[in-house]
Amino acid sequence: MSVRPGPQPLNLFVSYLDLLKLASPEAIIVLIALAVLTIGLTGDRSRTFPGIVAVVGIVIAIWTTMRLPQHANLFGGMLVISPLNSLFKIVCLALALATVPLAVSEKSMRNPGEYLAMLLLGTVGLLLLVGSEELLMIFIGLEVLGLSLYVMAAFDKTDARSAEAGLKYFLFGSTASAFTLFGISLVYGISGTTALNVIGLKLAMGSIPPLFAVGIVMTLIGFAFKIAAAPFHLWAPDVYQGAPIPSAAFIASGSKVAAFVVLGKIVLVGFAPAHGNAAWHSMLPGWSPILAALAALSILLGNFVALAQTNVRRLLAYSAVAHAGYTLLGLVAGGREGFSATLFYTTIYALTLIGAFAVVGIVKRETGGDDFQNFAGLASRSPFSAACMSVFMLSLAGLPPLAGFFGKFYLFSAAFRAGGNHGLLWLVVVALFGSFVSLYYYLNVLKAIFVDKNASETRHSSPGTHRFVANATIAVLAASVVLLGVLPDALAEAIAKSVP
Amino acid sequence: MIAWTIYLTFAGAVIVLLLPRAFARWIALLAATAGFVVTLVTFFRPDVDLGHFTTVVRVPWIPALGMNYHLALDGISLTLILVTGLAAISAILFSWDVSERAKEFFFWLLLVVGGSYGVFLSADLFLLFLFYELVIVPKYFLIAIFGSTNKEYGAMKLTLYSFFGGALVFLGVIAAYVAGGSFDINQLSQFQFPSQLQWWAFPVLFLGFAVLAGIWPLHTWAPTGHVAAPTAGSMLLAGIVMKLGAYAALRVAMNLFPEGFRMWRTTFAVLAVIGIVYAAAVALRQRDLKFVIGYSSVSHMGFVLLGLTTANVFGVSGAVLQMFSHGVIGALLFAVAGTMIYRRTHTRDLDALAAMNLRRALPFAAFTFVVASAASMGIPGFSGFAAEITILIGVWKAYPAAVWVVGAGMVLVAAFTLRALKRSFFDDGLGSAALSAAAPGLSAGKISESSRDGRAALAPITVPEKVGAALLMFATVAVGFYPKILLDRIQPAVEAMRFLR
Amino acid sequence: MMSPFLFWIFAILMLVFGAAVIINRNPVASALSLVVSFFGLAALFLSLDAYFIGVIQVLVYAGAIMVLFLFIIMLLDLRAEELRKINWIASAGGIAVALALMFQIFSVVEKFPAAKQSFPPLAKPAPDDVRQIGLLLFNNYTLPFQIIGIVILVATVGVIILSRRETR
Repeated sequence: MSVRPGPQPLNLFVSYLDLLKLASPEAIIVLIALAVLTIGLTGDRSRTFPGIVAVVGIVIAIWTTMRLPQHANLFGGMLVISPLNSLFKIVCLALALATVPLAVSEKSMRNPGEYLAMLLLGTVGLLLLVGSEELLMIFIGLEVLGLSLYVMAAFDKTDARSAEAGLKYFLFGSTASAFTLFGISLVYGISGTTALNVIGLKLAMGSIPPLFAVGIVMTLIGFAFKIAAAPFHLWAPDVYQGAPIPSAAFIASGSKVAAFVVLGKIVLVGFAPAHGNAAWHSMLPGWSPILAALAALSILLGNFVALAQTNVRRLLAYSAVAHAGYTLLGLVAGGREGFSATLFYTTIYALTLIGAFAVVGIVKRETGGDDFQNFAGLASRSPFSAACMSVFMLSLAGLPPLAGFFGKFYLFSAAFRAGGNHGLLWLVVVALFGSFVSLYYYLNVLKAIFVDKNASETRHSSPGTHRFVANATIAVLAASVVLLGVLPDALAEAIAKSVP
Repeated sequence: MIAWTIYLTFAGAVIVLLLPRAFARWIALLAATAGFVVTLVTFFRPDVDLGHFTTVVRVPWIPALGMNYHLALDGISLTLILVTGLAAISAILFSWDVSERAKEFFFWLLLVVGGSYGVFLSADLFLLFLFYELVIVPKYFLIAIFGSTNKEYGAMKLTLYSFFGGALVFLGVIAAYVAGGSFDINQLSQFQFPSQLQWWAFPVLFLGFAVLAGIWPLHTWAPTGHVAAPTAGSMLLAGIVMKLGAYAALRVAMNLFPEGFRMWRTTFAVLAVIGIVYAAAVALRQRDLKFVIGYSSVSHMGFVLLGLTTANVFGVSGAVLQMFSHGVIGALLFAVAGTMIYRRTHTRDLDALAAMNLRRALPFAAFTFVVASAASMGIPGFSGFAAEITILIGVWKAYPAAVWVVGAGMVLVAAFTLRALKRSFFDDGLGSAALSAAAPGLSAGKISESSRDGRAALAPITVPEKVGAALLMFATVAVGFYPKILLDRIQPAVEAMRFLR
Repeated sequence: MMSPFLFWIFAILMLVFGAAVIINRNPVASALSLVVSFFGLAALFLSLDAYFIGVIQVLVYAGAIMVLFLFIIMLLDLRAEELRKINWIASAGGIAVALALMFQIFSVVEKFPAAKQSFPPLAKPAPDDVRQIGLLLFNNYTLPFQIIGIVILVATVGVIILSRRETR
């Protein structure tokens, strides 16, 4: 490529008022975060009031997101408003909304104001990530999100495991950030721009320069950390197990959804010409064979290691690794259908996982642990939680009539269709094998709940309102998992329509 | 109208959960009976076209991917719905005494039944697959919570095998959908799939379904599962669930990929023949009555698979008839073994039973078991004979050599059935010397001890049990004497399938 | 522009002292190594004609931030870390993985047709690059510039949360 001019000032000045209008969801969440922080500092240590403020704020933010214009593009992709972005801003906000009750009903949570503030600031990170099609903004979004999540993971200072989780997540996360930043800087250095669509156009013109390939690999490594794909998953088990339950739920859901949305945009828009080919007999270098390898490894490793777990949260962590693998299938397949399938799957997965963590939270409060033995006899102690947990587990296993079943079908059929002459058949077979293996450990959780005798006696029971809040959240999540399984069209079509 | 079988059953399942426990069994019985009545009405209505897979309901479901809520009916599915209803009613009657966690029990049971109705009626591939997978988990809970011998192992094994089959089916369904561009089974069955695709998709799909039908060598879930399951569970497994696999193999795998079917049918025929003989031989060596019946199920389902692979009208119609017949007989055998004998004597060991003189203690059970055994052996006058003779005619046309092997298998079936019959009911405990020679592990003292215990505790056969057994016996005799009633409905539907043309 | 010789000097200086930050057991020595490493980085920026960033690097990082670091270290009176056993196997494994990654990258890059070409020359930046940076920050990069504020907010609140002692 020829002499590269640096970025020139745009000279088209966007008024701050317009900027504020288009970034209103983010602005509202920041304001609410500050408000919640202040309430936490001044008021008493009640957990309910900051929670209500946070919920109201998020609802308002969802409402404003719905009222955003259809299309807008600020600063060359830094803030893009499109149906897809708005839809996933709403999804991210909804996930945050579902996490708030978990935090409020968490008994050991000491400073709810500060915790909720970090949660909301993390949500801002999600919104920025989802709403951006420009590498610089994506990186800053990752940092906002990452910093909040580190703090959330280490929040419970009475628990050494939480500190360990925070430290581990921080070390791995910052290494991943370094990789991403290195990758992004190489991409920028080669293409002279950070806007994804321009990168795509420039790449399409000539052959792919070698350093660009390095940049792609580095960026992918960074995101593989974020979505906990093997072999970059090592932080996941400790964080899922050690972090406070709402933090773990948020890390497993919101952060993952946003990461998949952004990863999809980066590879399918920015790196589109370097697609390569992951088909078995005609592999071509590019990002898709890399993602395919990550997916296959994640599916196999995640599922097999999960078989050996006796702690439900660790089990969820390894199953999360496997699910990251399934979800990558859609990106490997590429195209509208593949991306839609990935987005659908990651969304329902996030809903399911928040629900599962909410049930784990209840069990932990009542029995003081989250091993299999603590779940024994849950069906007789609390049939409602047991029923909801079975909905979540079976959806993760991919059984009908739950959302996971349709999600897997959507993903696998997209992957099967792609790659010319069923070239991705090998990946589909690996994924099916993985989901076959996974049924065993999900059933083991259900076996503990329904079959095993009540081993641990109930120690605590949470106060009525908090119990009610937690139960209501679980009920809503379980109902949505069932509904999205029976009538997946509602979400699937919204996603398919909005994917460009 | 026939679609109401599904709705009534699922509605029953939900109502069972909502109402107090005392109502659970009545509601379950009501739901199952209502479904059966609906089936019977449809069965005897002259205006229903059973020769083709005629649409009953069709509503767009997931238009984004082309899925419809599409139910259809022909003679094959109607026959299987009939046996589902029979097995469901009798299974509920035979679990009349379930008291612990009864709501859950009948909930899971009705889910299995409802899901099976769904499979038999689905005309949309995705819908069929959904119902097919829906049945897996309720089975697990039925066995793991309410089962007996080694229940958690048996339940997990059965579930994993089912899910493994499900994974293969998943692949086949996706292949059919992506290549054919539709989920409509009728439409897909007219579609010309490329030979290369058929070559690999057919065995994947057929094998995936056949796992549930107990194809050798993937049959090992069946004996352990049947043994571990509660009576109603074994009855449903033998009566309905194994048929799901065989039915779907016929409806989906063979119907969609006729070319692949022609390429592979000999292979599967060999597997089926091995299954018939092998399972019968193993059954001959079993000491647990339920294991004997479990292996006999595998052997009988081998007939079904063999009939399917003949690819002629006789063989396939016979296979469908055999599905009905084995559904009834298998359920009956498990009912005797599980509830009439095991619930009362707490043993299923043939040697222990031999010492108990059950013929005197439980005459009705003895009578039922004789009828069931006769039907199982294929004695004329029972449905087993009608079905197996039709299959054998088909086999004679397709694989003459196989008839001889299968004939040997039938002798083995008769041998182990008679052995089980004699040991369990018609051994007076006098031959204990011969017994201990055959089974050195069991001392004579132990036998007499357990027989004393057993005789003291034997309760008479209850009314629900009698009704359930009578229903099944009536079905096998009725079809045995007048198989035409089913064959007339099955044959046109079979003839309409593409692989015959 | 600077001669390649000087580039290598400064790059090696930076890397060596960067490693020294980790290896040194005395916190003061670590901090001072970091200062030297920052100076090397600043020199590299200068060599690319990025005078403003180079100067900022010296003023802010090497100057202000490092002074704060040293203050805190001395206030808290941190001693040299206890010598603990180094897990040689793990370290060797880590180094091996890093080397393998390097090797992998080099061998892949070499395969590309464009690998042997030299880099195109850099554009000559405008002489008043401070003004340029200012314009860019408040025009093209207004949004990230403001979002950085949120990042700092998160960091500040987070640090306070994590460092505060929990009173029961």
